[in-house]
Amino acid sequence: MFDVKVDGQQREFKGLAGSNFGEVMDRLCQEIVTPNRVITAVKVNGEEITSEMQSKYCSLPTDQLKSIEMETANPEQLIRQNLLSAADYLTRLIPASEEAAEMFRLGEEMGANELYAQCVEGFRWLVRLLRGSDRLQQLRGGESLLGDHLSPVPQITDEMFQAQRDQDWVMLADLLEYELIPLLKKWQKAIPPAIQQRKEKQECK
Amino acid sequence: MEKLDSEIWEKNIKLLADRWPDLAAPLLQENAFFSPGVRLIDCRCGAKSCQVEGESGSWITLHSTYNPWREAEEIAKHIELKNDQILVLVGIGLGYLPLVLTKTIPQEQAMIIVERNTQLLKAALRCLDLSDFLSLPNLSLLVGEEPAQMVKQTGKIQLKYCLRDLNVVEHPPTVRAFPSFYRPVLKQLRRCSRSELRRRIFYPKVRSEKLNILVFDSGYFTLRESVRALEMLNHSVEVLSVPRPQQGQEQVDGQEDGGARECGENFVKRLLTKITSFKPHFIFTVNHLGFDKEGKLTELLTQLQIPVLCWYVDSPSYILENHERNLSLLLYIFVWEKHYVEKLKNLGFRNVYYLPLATDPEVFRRIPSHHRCLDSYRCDVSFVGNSMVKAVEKWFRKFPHSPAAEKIGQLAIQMQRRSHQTPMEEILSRIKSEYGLSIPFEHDEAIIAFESALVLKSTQEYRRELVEALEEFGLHIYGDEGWFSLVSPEKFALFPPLDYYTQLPLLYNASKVNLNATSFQMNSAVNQRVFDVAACGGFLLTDCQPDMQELFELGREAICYQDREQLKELVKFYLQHPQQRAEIARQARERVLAEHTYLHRMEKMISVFKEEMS
Repeated sequence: MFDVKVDGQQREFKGLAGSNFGEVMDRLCQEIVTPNRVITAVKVNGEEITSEMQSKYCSLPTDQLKSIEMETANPEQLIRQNLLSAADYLTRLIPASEEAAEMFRLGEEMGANELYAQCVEGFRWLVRLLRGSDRLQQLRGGESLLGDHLSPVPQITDEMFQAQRDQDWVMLADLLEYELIPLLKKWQKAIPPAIQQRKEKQECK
Repeated sequence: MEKLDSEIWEKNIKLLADRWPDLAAPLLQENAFFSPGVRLIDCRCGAKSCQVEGESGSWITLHSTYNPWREAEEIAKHIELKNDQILVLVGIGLGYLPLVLTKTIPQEQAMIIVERNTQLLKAALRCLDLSDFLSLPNLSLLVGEEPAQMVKQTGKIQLKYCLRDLNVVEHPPTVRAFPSFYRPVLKQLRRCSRSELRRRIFYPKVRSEKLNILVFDSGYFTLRESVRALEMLNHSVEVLSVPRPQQGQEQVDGQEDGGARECGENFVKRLLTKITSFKPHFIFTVNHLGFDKEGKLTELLTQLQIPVLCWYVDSPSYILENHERNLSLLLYIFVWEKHYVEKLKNLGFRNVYYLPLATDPEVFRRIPSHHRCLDSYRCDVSFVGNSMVKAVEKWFRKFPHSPAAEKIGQLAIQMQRRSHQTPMEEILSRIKSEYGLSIPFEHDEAIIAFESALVLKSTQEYRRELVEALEEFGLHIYGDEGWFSLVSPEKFALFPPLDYYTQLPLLYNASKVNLNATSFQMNSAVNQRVFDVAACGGFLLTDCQPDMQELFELGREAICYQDREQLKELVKFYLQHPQQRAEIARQARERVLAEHTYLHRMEKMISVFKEEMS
C-alpha cells in the first residue's frame, strides 16, 4: 500500500485500488479537483513529474508505488501567482536580452551566445507559463489574459532561430532589440492590469 | 533615391580620387551602381544597411537593418579613444562607425581603415556622404590589399606617427564574413599594437655621469673635433651617418633635408635600431644636419623623449625656414653667434644658449719654425677665406630682380659695411622706416635669399677691400677660384684652398701675420680662424668683433684693426717687431688652450644640458 499526501497532509482515500498509477490518479482527481481547486504539482515516490512525464508514469504498477504527493491550488490564485512570476521574470529577461543584443553587436560572440541561450530558455518558460495560465483562464470561461500579445511569438522565434543558424549576429541582435524586447515590454505593460483584475475579483468574492 | 545616391557618389569619389587616386581609379572605371557580393537593404529608419556574401557562402548582415546609425553610436561608445594612439578600424562596412567617430575624435587623430573588400567601399561611397570622414587629415585607407601588405603598411604608418600604439577596433560582422582574411590581420595588428620598440626607447635620460651620446655625422668639420672631445670627457659616443650636403655647396647654402632625402624611412629605421641598441641620453648634431625641414624627425624624437643638442656654427636663418615644425622642448640649441639667441627664442625655441666656436689643439698645434714642412707656406701676410663669388652669384639668382630690389640692395650693403654688428634683417627694417623702401617680395624664401645675398655681397666687398689694402705686403691669398676675378692676379699670390686638417695648421704656423676678415654673417661672434691660428701659436690680425673682448684680452692676447688704414699700419708694425708678435701669439695660445678648445665647449654644453634636465 502507498501513502498519499495532499498539500503536505497525509490523506486516506477509499477505493484507491487500481492496476497502475494512471488509474489511481484518475480516481484521486475525481476526489480532489473541483472548480476552485486544481492540482498544480505531483510527486511519485519523491520524484516530481511534469505533464510530459505523465504518460511514462501512467503505466507504473501500483505495487511499485510507495508515495504520491500532490500540491493543489485555487485556479484564480494560480493564475495570479503565474502572472506575478511572469512580471518578476520579465524584469530580468528584458535587460538580459538587451545585453545579449549589445554583445552580439560588439562581436562578443561567445558571451552573447551563452546569454542568448539563457534568454531563449527563459523566454520559452515564460511563454509556457503565460500560455498555460491563459488556457486555464479560457477553460474557466474567462477572457484571454494578454489578448493577442502572444501571437507574434512563433514568428519571432522562427526568425531568431534562422538568424542563429546563419550565425548572422547583427540580424539576431536586431530581432532581439527591435522585435523580442518590445514584445516583452508589451507583456510587462499588460500583466499588472491583469493581476489587478484578479485581485479585484478575489476581493468581490 | 537614385539621384541622391548619384550625388553622394560624385562627392565621395571626388574626395577619394583627390587623396587616394590609385584606390579611386578602378572604382571609376566600374559601374558605380553595382557592387558584386554586396546586397543593399533599405532599413526601417530610411537608412541603408547591407549584407555581404561571406566566404562560407552565406549572406551576413553588416549593419542593423532597423537603425544602423544608432547601432554605430552604441558601438562607438565602447571604443576608448586616445590621442596618442592610432585608431585602426578593421572593416569599414558602409561607413557608419567611421562617420560617427569622425564627429567625436580630434581632427588630428591618426586613423587607419583596413578593408578587404573594394566593392564594399564602393557601396559605401554611394550610400553615405563620407566627406567628413574622408577629409580627416591623418586618415590612411588600406583597401583591397593582401593581409601581409596591410600589416606592413600599418607598420609604416605607425613609424610615421612616432611608433604610437595601435588601437585596433574590428567591425565584427565584417570579420565574421571573411575570417580567413581578417583573423590573421587582426592577430598581427594586435601583436604590434603595443609598440615594444617605443617602450624600449623610453629609458631614463641623464642619470649617470657618463652619458651615451649619439652623434649625427654629416662629415661637417666641427663634428670630428666634437666627438673627440666628448670621448675625452669619458662619455660613450656612437656615430650615425646622415646624408652629406651636396658637393661644392657653400656653408651658407642652407641644409638639405638629410634624413628626408635619404628616404626618411630608411634613415629612421637605422636611427631606431641605433637608439634601441645604444640607448643614447641625447643626440648631438651640428647645424641641425640629419634633420628635415618638415620637422618629422624632431617630432619622432620628441615623442620618444630623446633630447637633441644642436650646435649651430652657421646661420640658422638659412636652416630654420619651417622653424615652427622643429620646435621641441627637448631641443637644446647652442649658437655661436649671440644675436641668434634672442632671435631663436622669439621664434619659440625655449632652450637656446650661446656657445662660441673653438679649436682642436690636436690638429692646430705649434710646429717648430725651422721645420721644413712649413717651407712652402712661409710668407709675411696671408689670408685664407672664400671670395664669395660663387655664393653671391647663386644667391642673387634666388630672388626676382627689380630696380627697387637693386636700390635697397645697394643701400643695405653700404649700411652693413658701416656697421658690422647690425644684422641684415635690422638694416632692411631701417631702410623701410628711414627711406620708405620695402623689400619687393612676398614670399619668405625670396626675402631670406635677398638678405643672404646682401650679407654675402657685403662680405665679398669687405674682403676685397681689405686684401687690396695689403697689396704692398705681398699678401698670399688661399681660397677659391673666385679670387681670380675679384682681385688682380698679377698683384697677389693666389693659392688654391687648403685642407683644413693637414695644410691649414702649417700655413698658420708659417705665416708671420695671419689676416682675419669676419663674414657679415657674424655680427658679434668670432670665427674659427681666431682660435685655430692662436692654437698654432700663430699671430693674427683680426677685425674688432664684439665677442673678441670677452674671449681674449685685447692688446695682450689679440690685436684688432678698426679699418683698412689701421690694418696696414698694424701689419707694417708687427712685421717689423717679431718679438712683440711672438709674445702676443704666445699669450693667445695660452688663453685658447685654457678656455677655447672643443673640450671646453662640449663640457659647457653638457653641463647646461644636465642643469636643464635636472
